[in-house]
Amino acid sequence: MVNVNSLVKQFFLENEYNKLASKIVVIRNDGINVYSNIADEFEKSSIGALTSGLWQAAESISAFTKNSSTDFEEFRLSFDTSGDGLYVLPLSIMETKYFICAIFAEEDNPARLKRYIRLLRDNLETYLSELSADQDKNRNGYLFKEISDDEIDQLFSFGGV
Amino acid sequence: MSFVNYHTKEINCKIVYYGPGLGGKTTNIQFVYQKTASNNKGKMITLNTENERTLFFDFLPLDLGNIRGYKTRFHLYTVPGQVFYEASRKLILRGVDGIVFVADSQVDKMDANRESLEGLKKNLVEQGHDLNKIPIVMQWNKRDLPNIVATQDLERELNQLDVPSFEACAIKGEGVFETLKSISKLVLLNIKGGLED
Repeated sequence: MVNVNSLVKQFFLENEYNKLASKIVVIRNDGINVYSNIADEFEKSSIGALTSGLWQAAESISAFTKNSSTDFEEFRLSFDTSGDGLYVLPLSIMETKYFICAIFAEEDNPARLKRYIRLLRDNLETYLSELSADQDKNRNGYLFKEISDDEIDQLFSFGGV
Repeated sequence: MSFVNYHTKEINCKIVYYGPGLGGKTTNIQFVYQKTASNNKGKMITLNTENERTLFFDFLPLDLGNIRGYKTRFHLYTVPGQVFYEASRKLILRGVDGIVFVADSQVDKMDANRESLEGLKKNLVEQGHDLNKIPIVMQWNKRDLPNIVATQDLERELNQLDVPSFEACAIKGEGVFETLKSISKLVLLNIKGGLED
């Protein structure tokens, strides 16, 4: 199985795209974080959940004026002033939908930043399509064959019962 | 769909609390939030109406610790229970790994429970899930109130899938972690992508 997280991280660091905006995240359609330049794990998760919800809600609203077969690959989502805000773009990695969300503050030229993010998206899609073909390994079955109640209790040892 | 990073040995799973309005979904994850040490949890995000009804979703990221060397992170969501938020519920179910159906045990809420459960089944099928394979746990909430339905009747009326069920009084925390542990185990056992058959 291709490790999307590692490939995306490698891509960002090699190209120093992690410095493009104050906060950049790449998330899956369901809000799971794939890459981020944010250190705080919980902040990443929250931004992922909210970005996914934001995009999906925007798609649903747009669908009221589009026919049901519309795909939203060409769409982009902005919420900004002349210097602060966020910009979300969809991207496709191995036929799965992901999003890039850039959050910026006191940006001199948001239009230029958005153009860079679009270029980043295009480059990332190309980079991953070239790398993915020869890294595929099959993983079959289930990750865990059995889990004991004690192991579950251990996971929840921080509180509760 | 759960996400496993084999390099960093991390597992991410999405659990959705589903059920009728005012049934106690938000109360469940609020209790989890209260009882979780600060280094195991993120901020609880709530997108509410002015009168504190869930408008879009509640979200709580939880770091549970390790299981067999895998760092385990659960994302808990609630859906808005009110009938007219159906579109939002469909969105939140996308990519779900496990569901806690929070039923309101009060006699006069049985119609709302049935309607919500039928909606859940319909939405899951629409999204390509097999109802017999996706992890689901039932929670019979508000067991402390008068005028409640007997658990045998709740089982017969609402648990036709014959999934695990738990009595709860979420506002006091009773049954909250039992329910979460049960769905967590089912979700972890359902993660695809092992190295062996």
